[in-house]
Amino acid sequence: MRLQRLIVTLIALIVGYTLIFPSFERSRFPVKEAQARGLILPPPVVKLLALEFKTITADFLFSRASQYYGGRSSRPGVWTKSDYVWLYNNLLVITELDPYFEDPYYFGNAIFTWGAGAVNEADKLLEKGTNARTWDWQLPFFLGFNKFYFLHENKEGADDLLIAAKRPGSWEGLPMLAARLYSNTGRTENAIDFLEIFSKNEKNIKIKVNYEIRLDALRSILNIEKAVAAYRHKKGKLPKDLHVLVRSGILAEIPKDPYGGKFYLGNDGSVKTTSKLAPIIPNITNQNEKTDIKR
Amino acid sequence: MNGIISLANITFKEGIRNRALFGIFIMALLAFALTVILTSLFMKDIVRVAASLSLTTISFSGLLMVIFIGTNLVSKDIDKRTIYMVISRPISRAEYIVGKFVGLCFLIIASITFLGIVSSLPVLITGLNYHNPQNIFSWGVYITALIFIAMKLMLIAGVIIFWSSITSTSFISLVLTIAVYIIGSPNEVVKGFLDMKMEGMNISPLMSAVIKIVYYVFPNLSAFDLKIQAANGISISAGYIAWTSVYWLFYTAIIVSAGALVMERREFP
Repeated sequence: MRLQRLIVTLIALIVGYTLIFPSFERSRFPVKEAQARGLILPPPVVKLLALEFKTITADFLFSRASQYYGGRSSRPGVWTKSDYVWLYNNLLVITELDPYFEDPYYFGNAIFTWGAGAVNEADKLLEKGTNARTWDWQLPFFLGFNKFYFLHENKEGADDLLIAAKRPGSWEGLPMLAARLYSNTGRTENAIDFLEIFSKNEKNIKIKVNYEIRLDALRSILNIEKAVAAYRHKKGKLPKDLHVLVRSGILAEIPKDPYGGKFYLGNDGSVKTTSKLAPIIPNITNQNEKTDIKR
Repeated sequence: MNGIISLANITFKEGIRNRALFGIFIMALLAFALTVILTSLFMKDIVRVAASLSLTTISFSGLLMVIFIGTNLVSKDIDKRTIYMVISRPISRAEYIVGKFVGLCFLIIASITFLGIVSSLPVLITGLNYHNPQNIFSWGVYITALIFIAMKLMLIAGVIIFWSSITSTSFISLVLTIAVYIIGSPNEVVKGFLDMKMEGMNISPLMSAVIKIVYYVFPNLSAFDLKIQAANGISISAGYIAWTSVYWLFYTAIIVSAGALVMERREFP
């Protein structure tokens, strides 16, 4: 009799537990949201508190940061400048705990460059990674690309490419690319070369597809640029618009912009598109909204 | 000498039979299994993460083992008064201390070897599943890090022996050993702050003297922490290995001898 009563009580309690659980979970949500970012302590303090568990602390902080980013960036509008500041400070702590860890550099470069407009922060991380991971050619390669593509610092970018070229396993065309950057020629061709390597080395299919779309657009731009140059060489002046190139038989047809925009010629003869080449990583805040990250 | 070996054997067997050891091993095995799942949260450096988690698991479970089973094995004799039976035998008190220490070392070597072999599985599995040409992981460094974890645990075992010879309850020696571990792990970093002489940071001469004394008296446990190097495949110089081993040898020998000395002089009620 006593045992039966005990079993009934236990079952009733379990049913009650199941019933209250959703409400409990709901009430946790705002608290969880508020705490999602979590505290960032200064790197020396974290180092002190981590005792001998520095690598696993770095692992934990990194997975927390990347999940926070993943959760927030999939909801447009909630991603703010302070999120970037938090992420950047997080990555600084992680790379202080384990300076050889590749993921924070790779992740930082991916989120701070395209669309985010915080190339300087990405570059600071990449520089730290280039110095620590002395065998890794990809980090100085990314650094070189950022300086060339976003900051228009060709000479500095070329310097980084030469650092990458000296490291094992690097692409054999790097010294050639660096030479072209030094001589300030072939901007579109250089961008294509960079992106081809990015795409080749990228395992993530989603990012790879984005690279391929951009490559497609850049190859079209290169085609038009060559046609413009040929027209100028032949007629001694710039074409009025792209249709002139088609009518004169230099360009077979006006290529389509894979981003859905239309190509046109600027006043200086440069090739432009109405889509302005949308950011390669989607869901990352408004492309035109510059985020200036300062600690 | 025979007395030491047979006491070491008894201590080792007693430790292996301890139920807590099974609990610690099961926890470690679950953590290794979890490692394979957790690595999917990361992007490129998967093998690094697997190696980092595996080594942390080994270090942490080794620490639990030495601190809980070790204090139990050594202090129990004094706590439960079974020491009278030991000291009435033809074995000196110093031999008793050394025998206990050697037995603990056997236990540490056996456990770390077992956990080390099992821990290589998640690293191997992730290595086969994710190829990352930018990863320079090396088994040589990984094994070196395992050996250094074992050395660190043996040093802590020496600390346990020392405290057990002074105090009469196992709980107090457990707390004191944990205190040594917590002070010993970051004390190099604290000394580093002192040496940097950062501007705007005023450290009183007394504080600075205390930090220096702590640095030299307490063990520098961060010297044995090669997890960052092992996870990333950063090679360790032969000089580092040699000098750290010499440091380890001296520190452990001093602390065990001090324990033996205290034991020789100690009066049991």
